[in-house]
Parts: sequence; C-alpha cells; structure tokens
Amino acid sequence: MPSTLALRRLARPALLALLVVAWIAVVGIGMKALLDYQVRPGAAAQPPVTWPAASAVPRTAGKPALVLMAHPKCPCTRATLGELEGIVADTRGALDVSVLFVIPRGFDRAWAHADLWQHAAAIPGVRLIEDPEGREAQRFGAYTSGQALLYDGAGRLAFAGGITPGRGHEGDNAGRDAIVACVRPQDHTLARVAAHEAVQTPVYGCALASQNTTQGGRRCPK
Amino acid sequence: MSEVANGATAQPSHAARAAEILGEARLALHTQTDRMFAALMGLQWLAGIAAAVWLSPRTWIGATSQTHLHVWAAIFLGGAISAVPIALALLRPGSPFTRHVIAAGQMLTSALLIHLSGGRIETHFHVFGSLAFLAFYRDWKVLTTASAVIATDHILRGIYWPQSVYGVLTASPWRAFEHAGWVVFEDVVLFVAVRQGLRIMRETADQRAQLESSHHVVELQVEERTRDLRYSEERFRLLSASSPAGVFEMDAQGGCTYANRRWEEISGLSFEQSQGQGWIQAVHPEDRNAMYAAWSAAALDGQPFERTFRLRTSGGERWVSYHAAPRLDGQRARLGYVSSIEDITQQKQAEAELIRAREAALEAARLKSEFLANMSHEIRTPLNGVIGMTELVLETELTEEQREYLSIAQTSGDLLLAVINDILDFSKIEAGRMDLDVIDFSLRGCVDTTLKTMALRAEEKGLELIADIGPDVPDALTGDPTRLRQVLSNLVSNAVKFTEQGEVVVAVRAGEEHGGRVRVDFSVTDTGIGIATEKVETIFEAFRQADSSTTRKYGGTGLGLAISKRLTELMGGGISVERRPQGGSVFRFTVDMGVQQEPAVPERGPSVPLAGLDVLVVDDNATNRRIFGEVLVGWGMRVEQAESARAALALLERRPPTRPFALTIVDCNMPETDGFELVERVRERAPKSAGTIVMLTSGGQPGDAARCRQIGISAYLSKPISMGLLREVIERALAEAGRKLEAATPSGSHSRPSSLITRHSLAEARRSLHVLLAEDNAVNQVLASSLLRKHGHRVSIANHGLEALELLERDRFDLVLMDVHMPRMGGHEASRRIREREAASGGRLPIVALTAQAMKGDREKCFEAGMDAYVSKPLKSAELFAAIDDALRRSAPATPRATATEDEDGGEEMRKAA
Repeated sequence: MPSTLALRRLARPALLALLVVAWIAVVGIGMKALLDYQVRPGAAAQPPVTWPAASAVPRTAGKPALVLMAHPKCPCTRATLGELEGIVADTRGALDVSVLFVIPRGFDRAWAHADLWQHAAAIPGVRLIEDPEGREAQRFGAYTSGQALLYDGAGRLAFAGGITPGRGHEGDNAGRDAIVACVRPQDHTLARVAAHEAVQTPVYGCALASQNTTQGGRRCPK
Repeated sequence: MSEVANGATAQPSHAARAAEILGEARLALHTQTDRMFAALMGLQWLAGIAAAVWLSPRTWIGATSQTHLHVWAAIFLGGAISAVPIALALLRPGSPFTRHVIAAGQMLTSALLIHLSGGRIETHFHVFGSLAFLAFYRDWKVLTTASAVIATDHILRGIYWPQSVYGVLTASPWRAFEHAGWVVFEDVVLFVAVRQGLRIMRETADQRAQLESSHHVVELQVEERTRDLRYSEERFRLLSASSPAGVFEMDAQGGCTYANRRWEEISGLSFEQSQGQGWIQAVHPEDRNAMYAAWSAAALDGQPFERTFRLRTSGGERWVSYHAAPRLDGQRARLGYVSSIEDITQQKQAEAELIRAREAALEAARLKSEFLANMSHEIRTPLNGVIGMTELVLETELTEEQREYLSIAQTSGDLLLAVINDILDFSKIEAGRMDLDVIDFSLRGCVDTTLKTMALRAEEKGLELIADIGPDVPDALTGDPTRLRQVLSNLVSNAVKFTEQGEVVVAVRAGEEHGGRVRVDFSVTDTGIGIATEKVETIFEAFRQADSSTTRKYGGTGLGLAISKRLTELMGGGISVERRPQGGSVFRFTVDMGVQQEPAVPERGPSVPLAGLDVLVVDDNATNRRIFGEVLVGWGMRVEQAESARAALALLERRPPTRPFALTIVDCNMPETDGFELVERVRERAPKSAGTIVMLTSGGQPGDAARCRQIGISAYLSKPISMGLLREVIERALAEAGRKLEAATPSGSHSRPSSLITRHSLAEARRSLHVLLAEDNAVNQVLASSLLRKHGHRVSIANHGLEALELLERDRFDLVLMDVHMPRMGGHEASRRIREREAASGGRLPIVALTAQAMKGDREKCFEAGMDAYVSKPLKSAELFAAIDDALRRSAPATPRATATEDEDGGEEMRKAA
C-alpha cells in the first residue's frame, strides 16, 4: 500500500496534469466559441437587382455605384470601413461610393455621428448618408451592417455581400476582390454583369433593424 | 556550502559548486520570470478587457444593444487563459511545468488579443514580443512550447477555420510558410540568445564558484591568521603582563598606545593616564627635554633608542633604563616604537654605594700606602744610620773584641733590615701595591751580582756556587732586575743555608720567545737537606718553613718563598720545587721578560780574537768544567778538560811543544793537588805548554796574589765569575801575554807577568769620579762620602737642591748623588733644573737618586725628573756603586763604564727596596 507521502507525490503531478487538461479544454471551448462567432455571418441581403428608383441615394449616371449599409455603433463595421478604404483606393474613383448610416428609431443624428461616421467621412470620395429608421436600407434589402451592394453604371446589381473575412477582421476577402474585379474587369478573366450572377459574400456585422425580415436576414446573435 | 561539526567547511568540487550556483541562478531567474509573467498576464487580461470594451463594447440589433461577446470573452476566456499560469507562477514559481504553462498561456493570450483587436497587424506583434519575453527564461524548451501552441493554433484554424487565419477559405501554402517563417526566425534568434545567455550564466556561475573557493581559502587563511594573531596577541599580553620590565608602545608621534601593568607600577600612572602624551608627565622635569630630544633624534632616522632617566612618582624618584625598538611597515616607514623599561633604582643606588665603597677603599689603600711609605722611611732612616755607621766603624782600627761586637751588631742590623724588608714587601704584595719596574738590564750581570753576594757564605761552607747560563739566553732584557735578584737571592740564600756540602748550581735557560718577549727559566739546585714531601705543597705559603725546627736552626721569617712566589707570578711566571732523588732540592721559577731591541749596553766586543785558541780547563767540579767548556767553545776556542791536577799535568806533558795551550784555566781549590801546586809543577815540567794561566778560587787567602806573581799566574779571580768578566780577564791576560811575548828573551821562556789581573786591578783601571752629594741628613752625608772616598772618588756635599745647583755652576762633576727629600729644593726639582740647563748647554750629568721612600711610583718620579738611577736607603756599598754604574751607563750608552762594584771579598746581599 503506497504511503501517504508517496500518494501525495503521485497525486501532485496527476492533479497538475488534470488541471492543465481542464484548462486546455476550457480555453479550447472558449476559443471555439469565439471563433464561431467570428465566422458567423449576419443576415444576407435581398437587394433589388436594379437600382431602386425610389432610392434617395444619389448616383452618378453611367458610373458604378457602391452602397454600404452601416450601423453607426457596430464594432465589426470598423473593419468593413477599413476594407472600403482599400476598395476606394484600388478603384481609384471609378466607383460612386455611398455609405448609409442607419439611425434606428429613438436615436438622433448626433448619436449616429460616432467614430464610424468619422472613419467613413475620412475616406476620400465617400458620400455619407443618414438613413433614419433604415428606410433606404430597406429599399436596398439590407439587414446587416457592413452589407455592400455594387450596381454597375447601368444600375444593375453586380455584387452583394460583406467585404471582410470575418467579424471585425480586416484582411483579404472575396467581397473586396469581387468589387474590385467588377470595376476593373481587365484585371480578371470574367465579368459578371447579370444581376442573377451578382457575387454574394457573407456579411459580418450587427443587424440593422431590430426585427427579422422574411428575406432571411439574421441579426447578430446575442 | 556544507558545514561540518568541527567548524571547518567541506568544499564541494568546483564543477559541482558551479553547477549548483548555475542551478540556483536559473531557479531564481525562472522564479523571477514566472512572477514577471504572472504580473504581465494579469495586465494583459485587463488590457484585453479594456481593448474589448474600447473596440467592441456592445453588439447591436438595430436600436437595441447588449454587451459584446468580445467583452465576455476578454473577461472570462482571457481570465481562464491567465488564471492557471498566474496561479502556478505564484504557487510553484521556478517549476518547469509552470513556465511551460505560462508559455502556452502567453501564446493563447496573444491569440485572444489578436482576435479581440480584429486581427490588427500590430496585435500580431504580441506574439513576437511574447516569444522575446519567454526568452527571459533562458530555456529553449519554453520557446518550443510557445511555438508549438502557435503552430497548433494555426494548424487547427487552418483546418477547421482557415478564413480565421488568412481571411480566406483557402490559403496559399506560402502564407503558412511566411507565417511560420517569421516565428521560426524569431525562435532561432531567441534560441541563440538563450544559449548565449546560458553560457554567460555558466561562466558567471563558474567564476562565482571560483570566487567562493578563493573566498573560502581566504576565509580559512584569515581564520588561521586571526587565530595566530589572537594567539600572538594573547601571548604578547601574557608576556607583557608577566614581564618584570615595563612594556610600552608608542605611535609615530610619540603617543602611548599600550602600557602593561608593570609600567603602571613603575611610573605610578595608569594606562589611561599614560595614553597619548600623558606618559611624559611621569618623566622627571629635569630629564624631560634631554630625553625627548634624544628620542626625537632617534625617531627621525628610525633608529633604536636607549636612555636612562628618572621618573617622578609619588614614591619619589626612580631611575629607569629605557630601550626602544622602532616598528616599521613594509616601506620602512616608521609606525612607532616598542619599548621596555626597567626600574634600575636599586642598581643606581648600588652603583653609588660601589662608588662610595671604592672611594673609601682607595682612600684606605692610599692611607695604607702612606703608612707603608712612612713606616718604610721611619724605619729605614735610623736603621740606615745604624748599619752604615757600623760599617764605617768596622773599617777603623778596632780591638778583636770591638770588632766582634760590631760584627754582631752589623749582622743583627742586616738581619733586622732583611726582616723589615720582608715584612714591608709582603705587606705591599698583599695590598696589591707591589709594582714592577720595567728597565733595561743585563741578565748575566744580574745573576752574577746575585751570586757574588752569596759567594762568601758559600765559600765559608765549602760549597761550589756555580752559574750555568745557557749561551742562547738573551742578555739584554727589559724587566725588573731588582725583583729578579730578590727571588734569585732568596732561593740561592736558602740553598746555601740548607746545604752543608756539595754545590749550588744556578741554571738559566731561554724558553719560548714571542712578540719581543722571552720566557726565562731559572733553576737553583742544591745538594742540601732537601724538603719533606708533605711540605712541598705548603712551602710557598706565607709564614711557613719546612718545619718549626728549621726556624730555630736556620732562622728566617718564612716570608721569603711566599714573596718569591708572588714576585714570580707578577713577572708573568711561577715557581715550584721538587725533591731530588739523590738528595737536595731543585727550585724552579720562570719569568717573562722583554728583549731589548737595541741593547743599551753592548756586550764587550773582543779586543783579542779568541777563536781557534786552545784552552785547558782544570777543575775537579764536573759542572764547572761543563759550564766553562760550553762558554769557551761558544767563543770559538778549542777546549780540553782535566778533572784533577794529575790529569792536567799528564795532558800538558803529552802536549806537543809546537802546540801549546794558549790559555789554561785552573781551579785553585782541588783535592790532593791544588791549583798553585799544579802551576808550579807545570812550570817545572812543561813550562810552555800551559800558556797563559788564569786561576779561579772560591775564596782568597792573604799572600795568594804574591804567590800568583811568583809562579807566573796572569789572573787571579774569585768565584763565581761572570762570563763577561771571565772574557775580560782572558782578553786582558792574553793581550798582556802577547805584549810580553813580543818583548820576550830569545830563549822564548815565558815571561812572568809583572802585574796580576784581579777584580780589584780591573776596578782600579776605571777612572775616579768627582761626585756631588746632595743630602740634607748629616749621617747620610758622612756615610755616603766615606763609601765614595774609599773607592777613590772625590766628594762635594750640598745640603739641598739649590746649593747643589750653585755648586754645579761653579765646579765640574762626573756624577750627582741626589737625595729626593731635602729642604728648600728637593731632588726631583733640582734634577729637572739640571736637565733644563743641559737642554740648552748640552751634555748629560749622571744623577743617582737617594731615597728612603717606599711609595708606589717613586722610581717613576725619579726617572721622570731626569734621574738616571735609583738607590734606596739605608745605603749599601754594593747597591750604591751598582747604581752609580747604572747611571754612568745610561748617561753614556756607547761607552760602558763601571765603578768598583764590590771588593774582592765578595759582595753582600743586595736588597733594593722599591
């Protein structure tokens, strides 16, 4: 029968090993949950295939227009605006870029003019539009902050989706590549102009509205 | 470091200790780094929360919001990531497990922060920074763990959520390679840094181990030195505490830094009072300045210092003897002095007592000397009158009865004088007041003079008195002839006294010569009654004779031999006696004398060559024959001997007529046929064969001179005869014979000498002197002048020194007899005046001092005053004329002259009192 001291000697490393295993498990679970959240997209948009005529968003005829819907307080949209900055730089003014900041009911303009507004305002050539209660967002069928819609010069939808690789993460992503490719087809081998062939990518951001829509939009999970 | 029971330390090996030190250092480093990471991870957790709150505080759904998942992740996931490493860092710091967990946690924190920051490229630097921080452990395995966590994270993400790693569903392998490459690059750099760091740690540990080892050795040495020092200190303290001398230590400024208890006892000052310059207060004020000045002078050169001075204490003055030795450092700089102090008060007192005792003793000795001198003077002066007058009366016409009575008186006076002299001499010797003169003299002359005084007595008893002086014995010596004669005279006198028949032989031999000095060995051999064996040891003790019957029969004070013993010892020798198997005794004594480098009295050079001449010695005494034979052979003569008249006659008859003896020496006193008869027969039977004849007799008879002339004897002399006199006689006789031969008749017959050579004729050959006698005592005037006139000298008398000087100016004198003590002007002063005059005018008048004093230094004073000789009263004829001879010789060293020293009857005992 091993002695108490021996048992203690044996128990300690076993306990330590157990502790480490538990620790790794907890951390692993936590990291998985975090990563799940990171890659979980928001509700996809159901945009009109052509520029909505009722939209008050200004548009330059004959020039591709990029509209980005943003919640003024969505943290994930910071990365989206960072990518937008890159798109604007890559397209070199070929796009007519507008950013719609959805102001939910009960909030005023001042509430919307937060850091994201300031960030977007700093992007050269970007038009900032206040969208009280998200009317314009609804016209464009956007449900998630960070939703980007690209209409070509004829007003046909070329792209709909997010322009970040994950929630709040900047970096290479399909959305940005698609937008830049649409604007400069000479850089890519294909050019999709048909709306039903519009490129779609996941959108990572907060929900623009409080209620779900039948178009399948998702709100940011709690 | 392990400790052993006896206090010594056991040193592990150097490598083991270095490893131990390295282990301790690493443990300390790991522990410190663990704690650093514990703090860092805590900060990171808080920073993560702050970043989450700042970057993504809430998530929105339209108008509603809730806390962002990132915030909860930062709080809980970040807390979970940090908690375990922090706990281990606090609970198990330094453990490898802890730091590996920390490494994993740090990397997980990086992943979380990157996620919370939205993948900002700047946040990726946390990974590289974390790796750099982990390098603090200097454990490459930790870096491996961290890198593994990163790799695992990327692999898992790449597999399951590739878009979370690169932002796309698929990523080029080059992206992975690029990611890994940066991490590997940093790992490699950090690995090198860790190795270098470890190497430095090892080196440091090794140096420290070496340092510890050296330190340990130094500690042991210090311990040992401290022990030695403590022991030395303790020993010094014990020695100092138990020392009978005061021990005192000063610094370079002369301040007291240590004093033992004995110093306190001596000085009356405690150590506290003595400290610094306080000890000076103990020094007597009169001695302070001198003492301090002497110390300062010695201290300046760092020299030892000794001095005696006084201390002033409550108990009075104390004399101390102070000895100080400088203490110097390695550069010979003075650190101070270590001193010892002895209380010599008693010694000083003893010295003072000694000085007083010495002065008292000197005073007593002076008084004793004065007494001796006074007694000597007081006794000798009247005795001089008695003896001298008796001599004078005996030279007048007296009846037989008167002559008998006066002879007895004279003898009694002589005996009394001898007794007094013995007693005074003995007293002087016992008082250590006997000093020896150092003057030039002739050894042969001294011996001859002594024997002449004994000749008459020996002749009366029919004894042969023989002097046997070895030819190699130096004659010109330096010493005290008076004391030598005294010893010799005593021994010969005893020998003659105690011998009824036979002979007394005085033999002189030269001993070892060294450094201008020579040991002279004397022996006096007699055929007398001898000395009992049991008396041999005590015979030289004072007041002892062989036995009491000897005193009754022979008389004497018993001091003679004791005095002789003391005198011989004073003269650097000793005396002994031995019995002769055939009867009689032999007294031997040795003296140490100086050898004159330039003899003042040159020996008489031959005026007639003796070498090659044939000589016949006729004497029944074998010793005489031997002695004469040796001497004559030494002069180059061819010697034949005959032991009797008959043998001589036979020898002469056999002698070829063409080879006659040039000289024949005949002993007068032979059995059967005496010398006279022999000569008569020779003249009849071999008239030419004997040549010049010299007759020696032990005692002369009236008519002998006429008979000598009649039978043709050339010289007639009494024995003993000095060899010098014998040679003079032989030369004179041969010279006389040569002159006579030239004027001889054609027949060649011998011509009888017209004159007989005797001692008297020799003496008469010398000139008469005009003597100035400076003497205040009337009796002495009469005595001295009578003696002088009897010998053919003219005498003028002065009563004092001044009168003597006046007479010297008016008349010419050959000699001055100067009494030392005279009124108006004494002999010393008068002599000095005479010499001063001679220094201006030239010449030198012989001056003989007459004195009755027996004081030490009398002789020296006389010579210092310019006197040439010295004779003490009472005056004796022989002594007086010997002194006159001496004075004449000194004043004219190239021309040896002599007055008549004795009459033909032989001399009397010569005593000279010093």
